[in-house]
Amino acid sequence: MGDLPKILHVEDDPDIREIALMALEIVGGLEVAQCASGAEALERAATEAPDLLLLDVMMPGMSGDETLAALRRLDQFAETPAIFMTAKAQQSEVERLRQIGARDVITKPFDPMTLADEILAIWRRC
Amino acid sequence: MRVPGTGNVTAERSAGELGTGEPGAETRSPEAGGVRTRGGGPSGRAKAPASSRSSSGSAAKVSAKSWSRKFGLWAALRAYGLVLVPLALVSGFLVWHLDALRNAGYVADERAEVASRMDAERARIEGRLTGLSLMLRGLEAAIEADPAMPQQRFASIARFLIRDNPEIVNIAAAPDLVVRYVYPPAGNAGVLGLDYRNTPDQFAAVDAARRLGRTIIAGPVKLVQNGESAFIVRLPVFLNAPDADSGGVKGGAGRSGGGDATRGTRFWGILSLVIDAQDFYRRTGLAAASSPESGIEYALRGPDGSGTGGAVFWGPPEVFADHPLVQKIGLPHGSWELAAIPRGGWATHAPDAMQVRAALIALALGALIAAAVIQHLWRRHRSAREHLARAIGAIDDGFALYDAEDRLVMCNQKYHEFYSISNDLIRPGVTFEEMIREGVRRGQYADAVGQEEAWIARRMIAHRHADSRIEQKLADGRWLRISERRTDDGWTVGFRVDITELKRAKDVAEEANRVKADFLSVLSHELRTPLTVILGFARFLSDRRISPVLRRLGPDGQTDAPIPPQMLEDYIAEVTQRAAKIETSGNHLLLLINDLLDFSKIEAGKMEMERESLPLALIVDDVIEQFRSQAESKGLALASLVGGDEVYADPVRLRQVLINLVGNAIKFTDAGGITLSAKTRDGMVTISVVDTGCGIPAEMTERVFREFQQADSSSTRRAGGTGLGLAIVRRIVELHGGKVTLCSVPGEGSTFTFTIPAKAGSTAARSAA
Repeated sequence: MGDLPKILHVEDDPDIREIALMALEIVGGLEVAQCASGAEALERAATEAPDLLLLDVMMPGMSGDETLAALRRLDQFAETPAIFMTAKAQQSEVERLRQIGARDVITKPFDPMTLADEILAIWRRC
Repeated sequence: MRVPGTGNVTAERSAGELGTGEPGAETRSPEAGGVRTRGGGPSGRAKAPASSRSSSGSAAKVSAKSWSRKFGLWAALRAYGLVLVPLALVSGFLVWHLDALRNAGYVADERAEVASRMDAERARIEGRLTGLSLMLRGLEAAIEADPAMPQQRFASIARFLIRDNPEIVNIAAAPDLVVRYVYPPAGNAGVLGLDYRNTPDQFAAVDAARRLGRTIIAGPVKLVQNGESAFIVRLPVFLNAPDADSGGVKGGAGRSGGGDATRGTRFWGILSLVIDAQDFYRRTGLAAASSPESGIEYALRGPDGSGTGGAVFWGPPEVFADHPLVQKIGLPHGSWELAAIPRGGWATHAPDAMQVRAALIALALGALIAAAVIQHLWRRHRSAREHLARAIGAIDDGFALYDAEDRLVMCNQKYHEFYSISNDLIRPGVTFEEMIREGVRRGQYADAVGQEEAWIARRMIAHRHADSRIEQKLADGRWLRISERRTDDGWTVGFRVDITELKRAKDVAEEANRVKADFLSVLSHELRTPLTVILGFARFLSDRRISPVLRRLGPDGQTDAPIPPQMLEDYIAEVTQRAAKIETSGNHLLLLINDLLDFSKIEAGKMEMERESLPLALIVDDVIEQFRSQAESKGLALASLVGGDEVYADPVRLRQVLINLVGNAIKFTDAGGITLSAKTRDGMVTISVVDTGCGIPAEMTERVFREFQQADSSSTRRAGGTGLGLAIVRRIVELHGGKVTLCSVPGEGSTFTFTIPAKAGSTAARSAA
């Protein structure tokens, strides 16, 4: 996993999507595809072929948990590393997300200047 | 329980017993540290109030004490008398009967002993008399052979006869009733020539012997020779040859019987034998037998063979007066009677009767004492059992005891109550497994439904382990905590504690914790999300390297050349847009923080209402204006039907209520609109906010007004919020003296209605103040 991963970012808040996009693309130089909902992610995942999933947790319609579960049911995403971004910062919530398959959890607010490095560090551990 | 002698029924009866003076109960008042029985009762009566301990109180106490003493005695008599009195009577009868039997046996033995010795005496006397009679017969035979025998021959025969019989005083023969022969001659010569016919005191006997033809024993008589007492045996002698001079007297009735039947018919004369009575008594052993050492006193009566009617001629006459044993001594003609009694009279009881009686009485007393002790111990044991049963019955938890074979020994009423469905099964002797199997079949255990066999298996394992604490849900919804322990002897003690309330409280606490955790989680999300936006954009604003516009100048966003005016305008637009987003998120954050502060103020009771009378429309219109653009952006109609209603309220807080309700309505409505209306009645203004939104399920309509709770706090909720907004609405309305309600139909919309006092001075307003 020496190459930079292509990231599929799912986030319902447009402002946070914008901040994350700049943090990952401009600051981190990563390739990022963004979706506003879990349903959209399921539609685009196959064509985008991401190496890493970056998922918000609380989203209307389909939560981050449900989106990951649905992606895992697809063969090509059965083992794709997933990172959750959540504003629910309690330890119990972090533990819960790890238990459902998250490689790591990034809590909001995040630092846009270090977000890409943080994600790459996680990626390299995978 | 239904076990005989236990349980509540027993407890009630026993309480009554305590009241009627059960030993050890009536004197133990609660002040003295006695056990207070449930529901008052006797021990309660015994307890005198402290205030009544005056002089009259002392008298009452003395009287009560006296009564108690009597009461106690009566109770003791009742308790022990029923057993001990009959037992004492039976023991007394047995002692008397055994004593009587033993004494009767002793008396009978004594009589048998006397009779046995008396038999011997009688036999010796009869034998001796027979022997003497036979001597005369021998002499008779000699005379028959030689009726005129010379004196020397007579003396020779008589000497021979007397030689071994010292009691014989003399032997005489009187042919034709005149004494011609006598031996020994010494001392008896005086009788020679004595004609019986001329001796009246002897003739009667002689004549009787001749007439009867039998031996006749006369006496005792005083002897002419020496005045000693003697018996005279006279034998009439008859020869075979006819004798016309015999006086015509022939054997009469006597000749036809006895040993004289073969004798002759001619009367020859009389043979006589004089026997010293004292020597006779000595020779027969009668004297020795009647000596003080022998222990028996004898007496003879019937002189001259007169038998029963005769006088006592030997021995103390009193012998015949003391219920003697009497035996007849047969004489050739007539009889004597020999009587015998123990020396000193007949015994009425055995010589050791007193010692035996004492021993029997001691045994009986011992038995009575033992019986009393046993009864006392038994009563104590029973009392202890009853106390234990009452104590177990009074336990507010279910109690059951199983033996080593797992059969129910006892249980209390509470145990029956818990297992009401299988109540009839719960009886001593039934095994634990039988009870739970039938209980499961009847649906006694809620948590066994659908997994009966597995449940029974788990329950049996826990029960056999008997060192467990398990929780059990019953069919009626109650929860029990079961603790079971094994005793040293292999029995199982089980407790059932009703933890339904505890469970509910725990559920409520857990629900409250869950709600609080949810709230904190949601609050974290609600605070961190705008903060992410604020901090993210602020970071971009502070670092020109990551401005998409400035990056056109180079990778680090910097250039030494002058910035083109268009780029500057683009950069200003970019900055302005991001600053606006920061402001929006900041305002959102401020609202959240205000909600938190308001709620905190309400919780602390610090929120004060500054009420005034004002037109409702003033505030409603203002709120509508505030939300108009937001509603229009969603294509929603926002209208007010509020007329001239006036309210008495804090305008800031009323506005806050309306902002919350209208904001919520817009948030949850995607099509249609929101309408506000008001109506004044009975001093209150009822304000309604009606939307055509998604609605709220009926089970949520109460919950939405509770603190920290939202209709939807899930990860997929469609709108944000902390869950404090409607709680704050409810508290503000209540602080105004009004009420807020929600009527909602999912998919059709919701109507929030609240009431506010109509104007200053109204009843509702005053009471709310």
